[in-house]
Amino acid sequence: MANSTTLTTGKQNIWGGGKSPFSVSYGKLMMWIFLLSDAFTFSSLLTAYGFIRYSFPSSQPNEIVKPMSHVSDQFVEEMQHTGLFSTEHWPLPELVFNHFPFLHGIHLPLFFVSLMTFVLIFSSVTMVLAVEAGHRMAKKEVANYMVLTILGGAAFLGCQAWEWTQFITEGATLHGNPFGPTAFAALFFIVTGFHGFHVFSGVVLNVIIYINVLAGTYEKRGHYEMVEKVGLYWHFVDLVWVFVFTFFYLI
Amino acid sequence: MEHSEHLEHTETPSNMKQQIWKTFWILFALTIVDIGLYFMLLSTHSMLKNFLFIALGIVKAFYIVAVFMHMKFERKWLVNFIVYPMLFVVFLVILMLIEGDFTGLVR
Amino acid sequence: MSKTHSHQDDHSHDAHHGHHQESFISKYVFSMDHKMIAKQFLITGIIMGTLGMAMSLIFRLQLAYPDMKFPFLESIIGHWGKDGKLDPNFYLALITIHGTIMVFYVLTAGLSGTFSNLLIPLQVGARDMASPFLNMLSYWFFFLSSCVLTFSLFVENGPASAGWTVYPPLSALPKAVPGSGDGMTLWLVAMILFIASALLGGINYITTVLNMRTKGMKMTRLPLTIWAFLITAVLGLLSFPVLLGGSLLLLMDRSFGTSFYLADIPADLAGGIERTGGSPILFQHLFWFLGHPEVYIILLPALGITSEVIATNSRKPIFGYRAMIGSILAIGFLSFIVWGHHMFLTGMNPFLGSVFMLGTLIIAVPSAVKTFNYLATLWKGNLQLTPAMLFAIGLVSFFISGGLTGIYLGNAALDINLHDTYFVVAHFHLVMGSAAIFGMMSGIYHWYSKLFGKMMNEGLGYIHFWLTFISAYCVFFPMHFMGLAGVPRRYYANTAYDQFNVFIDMNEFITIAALLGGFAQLIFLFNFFYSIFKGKRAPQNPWKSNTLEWTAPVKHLHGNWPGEIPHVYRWAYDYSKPGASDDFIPQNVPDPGQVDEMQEPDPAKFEPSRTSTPAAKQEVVLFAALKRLFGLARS
Repeated sequence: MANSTTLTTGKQNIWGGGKSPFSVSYGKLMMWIFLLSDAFTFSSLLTAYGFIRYSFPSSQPNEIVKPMSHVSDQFVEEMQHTGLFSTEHWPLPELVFNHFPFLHGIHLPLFFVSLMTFVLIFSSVTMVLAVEAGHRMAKKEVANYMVLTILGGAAFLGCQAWEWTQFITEGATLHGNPFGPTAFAALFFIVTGFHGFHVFSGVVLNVIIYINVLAGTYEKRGHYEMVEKVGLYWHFVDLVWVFVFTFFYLI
Repeated sequence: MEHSEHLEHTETPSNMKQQIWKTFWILFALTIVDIGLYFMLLSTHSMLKNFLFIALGIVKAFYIVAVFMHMKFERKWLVNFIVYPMLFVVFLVILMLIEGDFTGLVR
Repeated sequence: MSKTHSHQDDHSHDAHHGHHQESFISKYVFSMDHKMIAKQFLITGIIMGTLGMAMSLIFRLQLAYPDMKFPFLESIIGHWGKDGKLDPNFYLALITIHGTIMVFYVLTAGLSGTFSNLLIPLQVGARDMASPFLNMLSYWFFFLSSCVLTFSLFVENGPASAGWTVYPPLSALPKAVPGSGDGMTLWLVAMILFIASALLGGINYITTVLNMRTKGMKMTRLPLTIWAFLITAVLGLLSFPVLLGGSLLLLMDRSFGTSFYLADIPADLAGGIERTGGSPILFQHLFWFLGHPEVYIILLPALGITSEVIATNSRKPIFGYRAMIGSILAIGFLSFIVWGHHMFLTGMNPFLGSVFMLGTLIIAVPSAVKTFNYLATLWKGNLQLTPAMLFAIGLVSFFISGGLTGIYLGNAALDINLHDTYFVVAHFHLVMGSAAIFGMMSGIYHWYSKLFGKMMNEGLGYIHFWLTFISAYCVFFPMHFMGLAGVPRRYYANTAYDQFNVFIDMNEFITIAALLGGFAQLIFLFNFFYSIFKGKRAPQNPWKSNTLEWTAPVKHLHGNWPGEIPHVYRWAYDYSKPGASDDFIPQNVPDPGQVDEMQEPDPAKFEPSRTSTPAAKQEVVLFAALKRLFGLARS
């Protein structure tokens, strides 16, 4: 592999042993490797989604319901009548995820999930700012940014809970739904649920880190690498959401 | 710097904060573009549209990994070690889409 | 070099032990020392292996004597063997659990878990794994998983019986067959625990190899064992998560009424919920995306061990070191893009069949590179036929004879005839089962002294080898013919088909050979456990080997080396170096005048003069005759 052909001069050889070739600590390397394998777990679920999605034809384009228009309480039944919701083809995400809290009765496709996306991206930013503050050993700043990150994560989980509730009240279960093929809702629950579980674990980890920051554990240790490692995990969760968002809501 | 396990720290640029905010605005803009395109292309159904969204997703992923996850500043081999294995996923996904299509055909 | 968890270097061995007393629990049970964890993995693996072997003997008896009664069965397996007759449902359970145990618990955890743990820190020159705590967790997840699988043998409807590949719908519908009930759920739980263990282990192995090599241990100086373990860990890391996703969906199908893998099942068969819209082929894809790399997760460590054992015991440098690394990498890469060759006949898109066939046949190339390199290393070597060496040569033999049939099976067209017949059984038992077991045995005989500080009995080792070798061929070779004649695998009995009656004698023969093989393992078990207590004390470097583990003291100490970790000045294969006084030069010995660890010896200084090498004098008669026959020798 690498660059160690014969007669390379010693000191510059990063693969020569005695130090990390990547110049990262073992803990960070482990986190990277774990994230790589976790990416494969998500990939397998998204692959399953792609497989099942592609085994069904796409729906007719929606030319009936316009964004911001009024929708009745029997919206799902109406859609079934028009043939846009049928077990024969995959439903259009805009017709399914069209609710927004407190704005009942208006067709607002994608608005809520966009909000969720922004929340998650924003919490990613505060996380990376916490990491940056950690490099400067600024304990107070790290703690503040951690609080913001935790709040962002919690807000995302809250949004997800609301969306799930909405979805379930409209009749979606693991073994059936009024929108389309059985697997539509089941896949939604599994993939967003698995992602939500990751967010939840991330929030728990962040809380632990926050407590440790306050207790001064990392200050004593001399570096805030633990914030960095958990930060990697948190960004990964954000990264996965980018793809969940793309595949479940846009395509 | 041999005193502890990690050695020369991979350099963090001094304008890191600035880069973070820049990345945030890029991600923000890309998401807006995503949503905008979605409404513009509502009535089109083609594989091309899907590719467009996936490409946008990959661009977003790039910014998250490169800046937020600090990958841009890591050594080349770490980047290779993490990025190249993802090609297997691409292979898996492409094959499974073909297979899913076929499953629909024979159903 | 890591200091985070290595102890301050004590310069005297005794002093180290003096102030570091550990309790029984922290030393033998929840140990974080990689050598102890290796022993735990090995012994758990051996126990599981004995269980798996015993199961195979029970169903072999059934296959050979379908009409006979074995009253002792009732005392072992209770109501599953009423009146000495094996229950057909339990037969299916036995083959399922036999496969699962052998593939995952013995040859994945027992082989790569043991030797990665033992050898990675010792051979790269590290005090311990990168994270000893995660390493301990890895073992305990594995232990828990073994327990769950063993417990599943005792549930009311019997253990899982959908085959080790647990294809739905048999595995997705709890009421499909008796073994689809609780046993199947426990199987999945065991597998999820196992995956957790494999991931924790793999993360550790990779990090240790990459980050914690001692000074001078370049990647191109690593022993091939370490390369094999590294790539194995990468394969596991990338493929096990996919099975995790797949099993998660299967668990949902089983327990929560989803239909990811169920295409068209009426409600009355599926717990009151009609299942439509899924596809069982999806599971097969997800399963085999793990399943095929899994074959190499099993095989690569065995090949790595063989490289080391063969080079040491031939007293020759390994032939084509870089080609060996290249072929390991190539096999690792290819293993991810060929999984569909297990599914040619499952209703997969035929177009994909051709993609997978192409990749599959290319695997023959790196495999052949490895085989030829082994043979070239052996050629004209000063062979030390220790039991470990015999087992390593046995591996090469099985790898060839099993690998050749792989080329048949990789052909989509030929697979129409051969799929799910005994030909397949013969193929994978030779190339993956026997070869990997032989690699494992080779490793055990070779590194036993490193594990336990004692030597195993050589005489018993030879008996073990020859009995196992002969019986393995006698068991699996005839199966090729049965497979070619169309005898399907996994059948309880073939008595219903007249055309298979010609194989009655052959089935008996196979079973007798299998019993012989089982008996041989008893010799091994006796040797293994007897030598722990009563074996000869091991010398420092019994095989005169170059790698770093032989510079560590025989008596284990936490942190591996008293004093400083040795630095490395050369690759691992300086055997019979021309001009050197000894026929081996350990890796930590510098060349005269070498001060910089990174410097490679000047090749011009060691131009091998053919006349002075001892190997040239011992020309093997057969090769001399062949050379003359083809007019190659001019004299």
